[in-house]
Amino acid sequence: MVLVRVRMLGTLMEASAKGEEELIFQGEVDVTGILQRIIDEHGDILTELLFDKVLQSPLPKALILFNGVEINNLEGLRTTVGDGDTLTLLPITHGG
Amino acid sequence: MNKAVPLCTKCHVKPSIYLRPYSGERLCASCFIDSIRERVERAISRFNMFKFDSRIAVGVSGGKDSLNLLHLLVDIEEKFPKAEVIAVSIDEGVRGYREEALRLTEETCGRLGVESLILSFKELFGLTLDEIVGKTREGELTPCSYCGVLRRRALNESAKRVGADRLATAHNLDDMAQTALLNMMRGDLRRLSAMHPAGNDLKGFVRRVKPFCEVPERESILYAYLKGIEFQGKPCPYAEEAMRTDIRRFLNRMEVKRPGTKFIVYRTTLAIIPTIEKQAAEPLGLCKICSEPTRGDICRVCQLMEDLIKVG
Repeated sequence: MVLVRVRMLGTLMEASAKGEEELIFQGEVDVTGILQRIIDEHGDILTELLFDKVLQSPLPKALILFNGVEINNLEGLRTTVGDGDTLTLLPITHGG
Repeated sequence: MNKAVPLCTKCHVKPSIYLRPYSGERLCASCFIDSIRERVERAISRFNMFKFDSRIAVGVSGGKDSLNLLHLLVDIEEKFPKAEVIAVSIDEGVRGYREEALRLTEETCGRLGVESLILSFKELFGLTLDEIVGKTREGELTPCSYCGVLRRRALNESAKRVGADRLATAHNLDDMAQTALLNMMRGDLRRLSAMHPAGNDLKGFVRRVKPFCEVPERESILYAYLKGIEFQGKPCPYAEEAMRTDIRRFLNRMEVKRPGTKFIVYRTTLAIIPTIEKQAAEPLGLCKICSEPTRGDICRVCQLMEDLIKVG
C-alpha cells in the first residue's frame, strides 16, 4: 500500500476546503494518477482550476513539486510517486 | 522515494529542483533564488530604471509579484544608501477581497521596515469599485476597464504624494507578453510603444518602471514559495477581461508546447518599439476638467466618472 501526501496551496486550498490530504493507493502511482484521484474526489471546481481544457494537462495552470522538486525536472506527469512522498500543487494565479 | 536528480547546472554542487524549459538550466533552490534577483538587477541596469538616490514608490497589491518585488528592491536598495523604497497600495473597494491583500502588505512593510501609503478609490474618485460595478449595465464597460484606468491614476497620485521620482510596478513577463499581443490585436500602437519597461519621462507622470518584466509568472510563484513569502492567492472576483484571458490561455499553452514563446513576444516587442514610437507619438495636453495630463481634451478618468454620474 502507498500513502501519498498532497499539499494544495492558494486557490486550490480554498476550492478543496483542505490544505493537505493523505491518499492511499494499492501500488505505485504516477502524478497523473494522483491528480485524477483528487479530481474524482473534488469534482469540477478542481478540474477547472488545475486542467487546461485544450492541452488536457495541468502544466499551463500549476507548478507541481514532488518532494520539493518540480516534476518537469523529473519525468513530468509520469513521475512515479511512492509511499511517504509529498506532492505540492501551486496554482499559477494571475494578478499580483 | 528518493529519485536521482541532476546537479544544478549553475553551482554543480547541489541537486536541482527546477528545470527552465526555455533555457535548459537545471537549478537548485538557492541558485534559482539568486537567478531571479540577478534578472531583476539586470533589467534595472539595462533599462536605467533608477538613479543612485531615487525615491522609489513600489505599487504593492499584496499579490505574489508585487510582494516579491518589494522584498527584492528592499534587498537591492541596501547597496544604494541614498535610495529609498516606499510601498504604495490602492484600495479599490472590493469587499471580501482587498482586505486580506492590504493586511499582507502592511505586515510585510512592517517586517521590512518600509514606509507605506494606502489610497482608496473612494477617497480619490468618490466611489468604490463595488459601487462602480453596481452602476454599470450589462454590455457596457467591464470592471477591469474602470479599474485599470482609475488604478493607474491612483498609483501615479500616490507616487506623487510620497515624493517619489520613480513608480515601480511588478508586471511580470507574462503580463508584458499578454499586453504586447493585446495591443497588437487592437492595433493600438500608442499603448504598444508605451509598454516599455523603462517607462517615459512625461510631464505630470512619475516615471513608471517594471523591474520584474523578465520574470515568468511560474517563476514568481516558485520564488515566493521558496522564500516563504505569504501572498494573496485568490484572484480579484471581477478579474475576467475577456480578450486578455484568451491571450493568457493561448500564451500559456504555447509556452508548454514551445518553451520561450513569451520571451520571444516580449523581446520582439521591445525591438519594434523604437520604430513605432515616432508614429505613435501625440502631443500631451492637460485635461479640461482635472488638469491631469491627457492626449485629448478630457482624460479617460474624467470621461469614465462623467458617464457614471449620468447613470446616477
